[in-house]
Amino acid sequence: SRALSFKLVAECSTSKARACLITLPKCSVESPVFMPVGTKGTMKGLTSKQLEDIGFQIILGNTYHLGTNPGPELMEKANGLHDFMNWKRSILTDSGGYQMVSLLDLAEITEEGVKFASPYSDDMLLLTPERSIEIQNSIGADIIMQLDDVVASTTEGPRVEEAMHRTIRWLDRCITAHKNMHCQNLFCIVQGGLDMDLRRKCVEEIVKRDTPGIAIGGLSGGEDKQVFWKVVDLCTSLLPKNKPRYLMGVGYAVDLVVCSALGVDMYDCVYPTRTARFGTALVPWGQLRLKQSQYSMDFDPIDKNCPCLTCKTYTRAYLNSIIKQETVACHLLSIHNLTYQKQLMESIRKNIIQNTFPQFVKDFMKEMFPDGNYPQWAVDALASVNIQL
Amino acid sequence: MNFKVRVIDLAGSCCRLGALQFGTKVVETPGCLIYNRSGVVPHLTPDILETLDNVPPIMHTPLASIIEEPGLIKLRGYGKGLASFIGYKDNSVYISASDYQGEAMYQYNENKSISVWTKTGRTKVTPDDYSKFVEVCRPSWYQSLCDTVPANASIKRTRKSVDRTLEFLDQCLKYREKHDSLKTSELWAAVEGGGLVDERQRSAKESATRPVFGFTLEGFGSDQMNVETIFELLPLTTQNLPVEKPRLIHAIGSPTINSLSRSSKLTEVEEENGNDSSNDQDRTATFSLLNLREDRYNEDFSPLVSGCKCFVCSNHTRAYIHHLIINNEMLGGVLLMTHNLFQYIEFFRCIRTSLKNNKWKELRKLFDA
Ligand SMILES: [Zn+2]
Ligand SMILES: [Zn+2]
Repeated sequence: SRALSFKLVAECSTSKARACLITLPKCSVESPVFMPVGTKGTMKGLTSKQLEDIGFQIILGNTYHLGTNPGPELMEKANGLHDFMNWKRSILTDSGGYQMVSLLDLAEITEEGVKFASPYSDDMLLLTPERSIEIQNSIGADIIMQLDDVVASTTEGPRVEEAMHRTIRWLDRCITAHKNMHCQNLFCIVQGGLDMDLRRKCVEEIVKRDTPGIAIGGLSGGEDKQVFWKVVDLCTSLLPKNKPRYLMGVGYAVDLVVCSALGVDMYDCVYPTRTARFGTALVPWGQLRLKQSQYSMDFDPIDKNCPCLTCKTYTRAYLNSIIKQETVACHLLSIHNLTYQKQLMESIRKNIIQNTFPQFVKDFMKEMFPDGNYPQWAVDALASVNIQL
Repeated sequence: MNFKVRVIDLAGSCCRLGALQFGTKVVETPGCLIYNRSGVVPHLTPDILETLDNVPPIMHTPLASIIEEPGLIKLRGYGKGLASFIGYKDNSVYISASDYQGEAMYQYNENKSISVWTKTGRTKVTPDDYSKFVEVCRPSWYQSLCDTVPANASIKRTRKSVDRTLEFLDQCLKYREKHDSLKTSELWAAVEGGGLVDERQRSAKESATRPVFGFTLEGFGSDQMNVETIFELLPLTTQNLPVEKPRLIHAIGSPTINSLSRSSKLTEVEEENGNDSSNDQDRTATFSLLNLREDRYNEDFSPLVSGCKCFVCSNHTRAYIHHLIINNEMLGGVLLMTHNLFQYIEFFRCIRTSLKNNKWKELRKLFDA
């Protein structure tokens, strides 16, 4: 039996965009969906209640962080991450591999797994596919990810092919190790770098494993956007229609709109909360850097159409005056930025369902780039799915 | 705006039970004001503050936290007053000139001005500068400008502090007299005197002759002021203040006073001296302290305080808060502050209820146990 049921609610008659209902053990998720990242069982100063109030149905937890601290034993005693942080809706955990490779200098990848130096002691530790699944089983997220062999998206040559094949071998080990099939969904990950042939081969192999959902990995690492969209487009065209597609690490507004047009269902990114910490507010016409003195006498809210607590309560001038001294400023901006992401995804979904998505995309792009100076990759990507800017 | 007070005689000590009314709002006393910096209660977004019941409808903002940012120009440009600017639209603010956040840098104060310390350094403020600033803030209450000295200041310096503070008070009153826009802002006189009984009494007696709304008792949050001195000085000071006016003490719950004894001592302060308002915020629980950093909370899935009705205790465990604190996660501060404020507000509510019901002795036993 599966812990996930998938329903295709609507498809755009022009592009590849789709609206789905993904029913998970803890909560149904309406897609396209953005999942905010709560690294250590907390979303940068926001309570789980506040995330619920914004309307999120699923959030992301990091296995690397939760697995080292507080650790899987405590997670088990706490009856999983849901109870530990008192989040009643759905959670997705990553495999922990990417965090190690990106955060730790000493990470080394072998066939066995990812070898790394413990940040808390002198020990060398090994994250195997089996160990990653074991930890994720103790965290208890609704969706868990296979350990994959991540290489920088700008890497070329035989290492990319090796990583792709190893990712498939590791997937098989993850499937064998997974204990909670009835309540946790293991997603596989498409790798293969920027090489279309490798991506094709990878999709072919992993689709055979019939996992409840499929992620597109190895992108969003500073690669050329023209190649980025082509890889996404290829994957969504090859992947089965009846399963959720999760594009890892993507969260800029334009990327979300374009990739939704290409048929992606799920996204995650630290960007909205990270940029909030630096004093930046996301708005439909770009962003406001509220530290700048131009906002010191600006008595409008960040976005007068935004329904969030911050916009209903405060002016830009007020935020400008507290931004350098009070952590509350960053909570307020996180609330706004996450509300912005949530609203954007809701609009995408609503327009797909009403079959007005192409017009929505045009309006969105027009507001974001009022001078019509659209990024070429977005123009090309959208044209490939019949949306002409 | 008015203040109704009832003095309750409890075996020789005079407790005061009162209600400060302004508009449709009431602050019951003894009570605490909640402190904010630049308009924010540290760590708390307004939705979280809203989870607390009985939050006094007036927010305390010290001058030092707003004089630079937002500052006069921004507030004047905004034009609707500080309460509205800081998103506290339905309620009001109290502006204090004294900054009890750290030891007063009193040696920098001068005959014509005091020095206010901000992030970028020192700003000299005269009574007129201050009054002008208060005018654009439109608070419900404000305190007169004061030259606060610690308990160990010399006799000469302490005398000067009392003289200057009275002079500043008179200038604040004169400005208020001339400016109608300040008529709806009530002025509280600062009572000084450091550690000297004579000076405390002189300051109280002189201030009491001025047309002020209430009195603030300054210098009791100083590092040099130990608990014994506080209890000696307070009754000798307050006996010189008119019964029918409210009294506010800043920073009485300073972290320098041992917190466990503090809670019971605080009740003594209330009982013996009948101060009407106290003001404090602290990262730790009020009555007995939990250090959430300690390893023993690692697997403790109980609430901070069992039976506590606050948002935090209803939703989160010690283990989770411990995890947040040891990882320096911002949410740790949010949750602790929320619980502590709830406890603090509840503490004062218990005091008032026990006074109303004549159960004071029982309540004290509970805290002393
Ligand atoms: Zn907003
Ligand atoms: Zn509590």
